[in-house]
Amino acid sequence: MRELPACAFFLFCFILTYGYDREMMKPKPLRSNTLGYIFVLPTLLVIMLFIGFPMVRGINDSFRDIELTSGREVKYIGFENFRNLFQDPVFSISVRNSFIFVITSVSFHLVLGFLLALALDRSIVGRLFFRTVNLMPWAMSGVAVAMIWIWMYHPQLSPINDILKSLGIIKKELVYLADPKSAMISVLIAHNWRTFPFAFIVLLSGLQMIPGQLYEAADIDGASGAQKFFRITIPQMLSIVLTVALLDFMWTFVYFDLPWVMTKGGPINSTHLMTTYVYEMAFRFYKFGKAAALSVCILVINFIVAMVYIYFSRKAEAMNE
Amino acid sequence: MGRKWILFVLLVLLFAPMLALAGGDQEAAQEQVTLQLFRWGSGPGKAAYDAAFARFEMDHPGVTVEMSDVSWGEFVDSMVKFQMAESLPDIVAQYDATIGSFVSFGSLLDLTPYLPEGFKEEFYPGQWDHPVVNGKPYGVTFRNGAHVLFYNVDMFRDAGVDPKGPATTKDVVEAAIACTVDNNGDGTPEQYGYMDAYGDEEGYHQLRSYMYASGRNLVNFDTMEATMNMPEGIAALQMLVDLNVKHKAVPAGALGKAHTLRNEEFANGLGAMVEGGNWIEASIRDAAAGFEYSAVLLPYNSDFVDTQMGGSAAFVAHSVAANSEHPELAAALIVEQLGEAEFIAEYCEARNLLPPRIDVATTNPYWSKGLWPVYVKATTVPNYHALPKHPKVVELSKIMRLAIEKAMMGQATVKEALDEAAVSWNKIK
Repeated sequence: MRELPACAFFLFCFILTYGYDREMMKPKPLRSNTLGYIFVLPTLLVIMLFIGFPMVRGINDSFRDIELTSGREVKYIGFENFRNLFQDPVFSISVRNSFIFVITSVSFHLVLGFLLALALDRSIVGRLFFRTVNLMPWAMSGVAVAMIWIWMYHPQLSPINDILKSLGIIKKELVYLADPKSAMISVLIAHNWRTFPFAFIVLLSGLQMIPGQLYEAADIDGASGAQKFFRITIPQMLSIVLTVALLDFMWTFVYFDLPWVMTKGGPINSTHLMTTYVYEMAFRFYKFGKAAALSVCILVINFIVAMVYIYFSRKAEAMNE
Repeated sequence: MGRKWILFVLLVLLFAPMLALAGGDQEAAQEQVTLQLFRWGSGPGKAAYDAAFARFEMDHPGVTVEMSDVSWGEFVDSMVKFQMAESLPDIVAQYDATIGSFVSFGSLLDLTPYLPEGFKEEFYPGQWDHPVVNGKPYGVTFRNGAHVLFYNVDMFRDAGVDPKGPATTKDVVEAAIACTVDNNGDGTPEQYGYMDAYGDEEGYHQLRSYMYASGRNLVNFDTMEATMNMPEGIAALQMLVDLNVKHKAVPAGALGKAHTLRNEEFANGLGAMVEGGNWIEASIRDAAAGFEYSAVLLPYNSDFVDTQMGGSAAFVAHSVAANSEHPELAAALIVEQLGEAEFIAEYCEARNLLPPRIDVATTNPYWSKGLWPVYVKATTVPNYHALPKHPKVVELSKIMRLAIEKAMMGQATVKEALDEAAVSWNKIK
């Protein structure tokens, strides 16, 4: 699922880029490009087979009545699946939850990632150690992280509760995953603990690419730390931050494993995301048509985000020129 | 000339393996049949399968049986994938949450033509009926479980509660309150009266267990109309809500815990009672806590009935896939081995489960020791039920889970929550 938005994103990039570039659209002698086409062909075939075909099939299924347990024959029903979906109260809950999940996660990743990147961009003792430790959660599988945090949140055995009780902050054990009010925050903490390193590593790379001469020149002009940060660091990092934010949005929007393992959408659908609802509808309730319709909704949302990215990146390119 | 030699060598290398295969024993290759059996689980019980396969292969030369298994959590997903590809393995395990669905998909074979005369009578009627849908047997039960109420006899004695165990739901509530102990008065008991969990799809099983014990099903098994909002259902859920919310006799966070966790918590001496399948006795016995425990039939609500009316079952059957290329052989494996006393006795003893065959349960001394008589009795009460055999039974578990969550969180009264569940179920059944 992670590849779907990426594929759509690149396809759209290709169309819009070459649509603007008249020079590139001019026909060229085939012979000069033949070798290039041959090299690209296997990859294109793999993409078509494992991404293109399932995507087209999924979009097709979203317009068909495919419910294994209904006994009805599979047939074309137009937009009926989408109509049913939009009338489904759990759908609107899952859309709301998904946006809360994504916006909170992306904001957290950017803020924490940026702060850590700034801190570890300097020459400090143990820099390599801290960089490595920060990357470790990212290397763990979502399911493993979910199992760890399920135990971290166990009401009676939770080390978090123990610490909070010993500090006198709470008197009664907190029930993180059992209360609709705290379940989403609890899942978000576990998710962000695992996924923030991506933003950190990309932003760190971006910081390291800022030419040192800019800071030296600013020092000569007597700029303060804050001035250097707001006048040099931020503008130089803007396009990278935007890229990270939009990619992170698309990837987080299709995130599934950790929320599903931790709560399966409960309690009372408070942690149901669009992705977990797709899974439940397809593989628990066998409603493949409706699940495909929901998947198309996810694809459309990510497509819109991709278009936003392309618009802003073209604007940035034009400004740089 | 050199190039022609290279081409010649390449052609020989390319075609030689094909010639070797063609010259092989094709007749023997064609007679080789491999049956695939797919199930969940591993560990104890595999030896019983291996022995059964060996016996079958000896009786049927040229037939090999291969078994593949996955974890329980992956089983249904795997079965759905097989179903979508229309390539179910020859023999598949089925249980109460899947049998209705897969029969409705047309995935399972009606075994009627393959069952010998008198075969059915060798099984307890209730257990034979588990994989029977619309009067046709779509599988043969080979293992069963009984839901009972386990209790910590030591805690009962310390609290002054009758160590014979509770008979009615009123007894359960009184015992749970008495066994909830907060020695240091900090508001967090060190010991709880009842262990509970609703954090997964199986969490509502005990609600249906208490309903069955009081003579009512979640749905009417004939019409499939919802009955969970009948007085017996309301009383059962109210009891569980009161234990959690009013009496605080249950550890906090039950809505967020998988149902297996409450078994572990009981086994480790955190609480006095837990409703569960007899298969959890092994973990209780092995647990470090080392307390005296016992089990009783699920308590009934004395407002409705005078005696325990029924239990909740957890059967597993072997079924033959409709797409099997060798249905006669697959059915023969089930009838001759996997449904016979030798395999069932060996498997059920290894896994600490109830045998569905009368001869095994009544003659094998294993099932006359310890708590087995309680479990066997639980399977022979009048209304010994699995889930309704309806293709949308998984949606029923989601509906019930939602009802329990709303009632526990106070978002609805018990009656409102169950009325909503009844409406939801009747809309989709």
